[in-house]
Amino acid sequence: MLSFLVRRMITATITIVVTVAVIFIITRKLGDPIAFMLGPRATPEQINFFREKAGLNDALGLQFLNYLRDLVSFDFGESISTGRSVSSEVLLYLPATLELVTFATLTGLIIFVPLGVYGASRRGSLIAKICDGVVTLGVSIPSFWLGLFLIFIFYYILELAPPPFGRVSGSSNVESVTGFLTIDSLIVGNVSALLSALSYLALPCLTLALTSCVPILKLTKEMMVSVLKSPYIRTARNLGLPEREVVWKLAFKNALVPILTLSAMTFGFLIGGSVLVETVFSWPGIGLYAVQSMYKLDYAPVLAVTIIATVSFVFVYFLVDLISAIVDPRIRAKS
Amino acid sequence: MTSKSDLNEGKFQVSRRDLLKSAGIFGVAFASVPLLSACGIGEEAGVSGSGSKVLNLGISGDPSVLDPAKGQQEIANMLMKNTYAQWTDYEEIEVGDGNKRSDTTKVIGDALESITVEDGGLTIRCKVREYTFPSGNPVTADDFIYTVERTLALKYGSIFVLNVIGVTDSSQVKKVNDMEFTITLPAPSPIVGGMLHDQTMGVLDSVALKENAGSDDAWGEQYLTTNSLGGGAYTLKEFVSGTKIVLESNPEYHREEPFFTSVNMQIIPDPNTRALLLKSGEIDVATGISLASASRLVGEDGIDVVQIPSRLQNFMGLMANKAPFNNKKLRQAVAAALPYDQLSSETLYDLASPPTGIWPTNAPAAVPQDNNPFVTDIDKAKQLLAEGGQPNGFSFDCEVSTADDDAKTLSVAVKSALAEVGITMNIRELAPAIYQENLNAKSMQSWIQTNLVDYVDDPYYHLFLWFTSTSVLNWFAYNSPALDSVAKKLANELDDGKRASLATEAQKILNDDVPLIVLAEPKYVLCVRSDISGVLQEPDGLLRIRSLIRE
Repeated sequence: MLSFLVRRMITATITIVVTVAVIFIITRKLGDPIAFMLGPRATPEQINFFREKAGLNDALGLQFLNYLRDLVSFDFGESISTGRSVSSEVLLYLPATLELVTFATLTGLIIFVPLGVYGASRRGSLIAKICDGVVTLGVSIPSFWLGLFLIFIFYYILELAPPPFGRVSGSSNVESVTGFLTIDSLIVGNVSALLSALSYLALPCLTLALTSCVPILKLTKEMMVSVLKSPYIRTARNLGLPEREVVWKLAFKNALVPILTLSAMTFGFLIGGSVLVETVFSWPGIGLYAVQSMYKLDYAPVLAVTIIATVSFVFVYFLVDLISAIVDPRIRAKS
Repeated sequence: MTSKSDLNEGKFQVSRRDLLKSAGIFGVAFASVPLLSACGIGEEAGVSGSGSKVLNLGISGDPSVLDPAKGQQEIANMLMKNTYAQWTDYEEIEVGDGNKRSDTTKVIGDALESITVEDGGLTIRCKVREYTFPSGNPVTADDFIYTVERTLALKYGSIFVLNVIGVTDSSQVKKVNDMEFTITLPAPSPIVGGMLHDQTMGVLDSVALKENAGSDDAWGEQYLTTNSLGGGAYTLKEFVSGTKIVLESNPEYHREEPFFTSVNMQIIPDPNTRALLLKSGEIDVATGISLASASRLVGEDGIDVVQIPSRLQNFMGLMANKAPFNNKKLRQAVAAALPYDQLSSETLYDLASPPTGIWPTNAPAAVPQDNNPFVTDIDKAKQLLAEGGQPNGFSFDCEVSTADDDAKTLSVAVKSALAEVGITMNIRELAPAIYQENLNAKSMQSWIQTNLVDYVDDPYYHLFLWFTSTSVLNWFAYNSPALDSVAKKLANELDDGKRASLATEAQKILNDDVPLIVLAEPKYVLCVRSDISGVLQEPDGLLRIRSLIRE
């Protein structure tokens, strides 16, 4: 087990460093953020003055080494366009994305895993057919379109949903502790703020769940179908075990590992991949922060978000490997 | 023995029980969403409605900066315009429906009580208005002098404003007493009043800034990344990055208190969402709406699409230092081939007017010329192509920014029109920063950009900014010794009659040379709820919140 963990950590570290290096080089080749920051009336002397000040005239290798050195102390540098510390800006935006993605993934799991299990155990039924339809629709519909559609229906027509900006209503005074407004509301016992935060989360979470988490439904159904065909399941049924026990206690446990893996990968992907939904719902997350920085060729925020997304993905994947090894004795034995 | 799975496999069975179960499962799963959303009912983002003194404004993103010395981005400039007092202002003219525009021929004081020109234009005497900053510190000559020193020392974009009127050293600004100072210029400048209205000339509370600046932050740059120290109509109450900005009216401001005592600027990146929120009444003003979206709001219940004639222009730049547009005949041919009436009425939804020449029609110095190149004449276009050595047409690339929706729309219409005379235009859409870099490097063959305007409405400034061989915005590599000569004469000419004559001469030269094409002259368009009026159209196109009222 220890060697398994060490191997995984080495792989993770290499992945992160290579990713950072590639993004570092690519962003610097795309253009000059100083010219954009100073505006069209800037002279070449002004541009050069600020490039020197920001260290952008140094050799690329030196810039990268300086960046890595600062990264060790979790210093993501300074935004060229705002002059603010990227670390502090990331701390403002990251909790919003984590909260959104966590709830979206949970929503996906809560809705799609039971549906997938039910659809697999009732093959040929209406529910199974509907599940297939939901999967097809979910992977086909663009997330920004679905988001706008849900806003139009639930906010504009039915007047059920709150307006698509902000994370909580203006009248809810929630002091930020973790940055997760749902948890912060619970901490102080502010029920109305909690409900408000959940209401603002509802539509963006549903949008992400329906478009990004829907493969969980397909995988659950397929895994369960495959496992339910196994000889030991037939034996269990023949021995007269209740169907519910056969499905949930025997079959589901064996289908769980790949479902967990996919869920974790989805979560990791969504940390950097929810930008369209964040834009449509004016959700102040790091995806939006990165895109707006990219428009200005502001390297530091783009790099910071890339690192966070990569580290999150790698960490989650590592965690899933670990849990899989614990849950499935065959993986433990192999490793 | 048959198992349940064997019985179910391969058969599509729809029993009543199945239907009920399906409805139940999916109903519970997806009905939870609207139920959860409904927890938000009754809670409002801001208090709006009849008589409400709270204005809800939808903006597209964060202001990059709060420091006037660094102002470049539109949202940042708008914020500074409303939270800082500028040195000067303009008188206002009613344009109907309760809306107004600035009279750029009449400069008045804002933070300055008066500004007088002496010594043949070499000395500008500035008298400071008596009022205080929100901190309680009185506004004094020291604050103006500090603002100049800081701008020159930091060297950000705002230095342009001072340099262009001839101020390059802080020793040129001298204190006479606490409420008066002078600026010494190397040569008379006709644009001093207009330049000092720039939002980057917001007057800083120097006492408060020096108190709050850290020991390693001599000019308070770090402090001003998250704070505002102006004495404008509003103060910055709250700034939640990525979410909202809240302003409160400044009781110390020297003008009467604005109608809206509180302003919530909600950050709503998607323009479609902003338009929807305006329709629902959640916001009172939606900024950054393209003309296409604005046209769909015209006639909507509860919405006014305010349209005020402006000096805005949509340009198609033609690079004069490389083929094909180093050939004047080909530039003229492209100009003659475009359907200007159609571009304004159809492509831009009648929210623009056709151009009458290179000069903005609504500029006071504009004089209709008989050599207006922007008249559609297909036969003339073909003749010019032949004269230019391209009787069968030619092809070129045209770059537009992905952030400029109207430019993208125009590029398609222009491409289509040019195809009819055999000219092939390839549209290249670029990310904003890369587009801007290409503009600065003049690496394009042509480009289209919309809503361009000089912040100062003056013929010298217009030439200085765009058309001389050394102009910073000469993004088309135009080089005309004749035009340079006119600009040089205008630079220090204070006589109105002579200035008008020189401006006319410049217009003739430009119309003949066609360094760029004015595709259309858009109106200043602002989408507001119908109970909002008092929109003030400023030369810089920035929204002035203090003039707005709710009926």
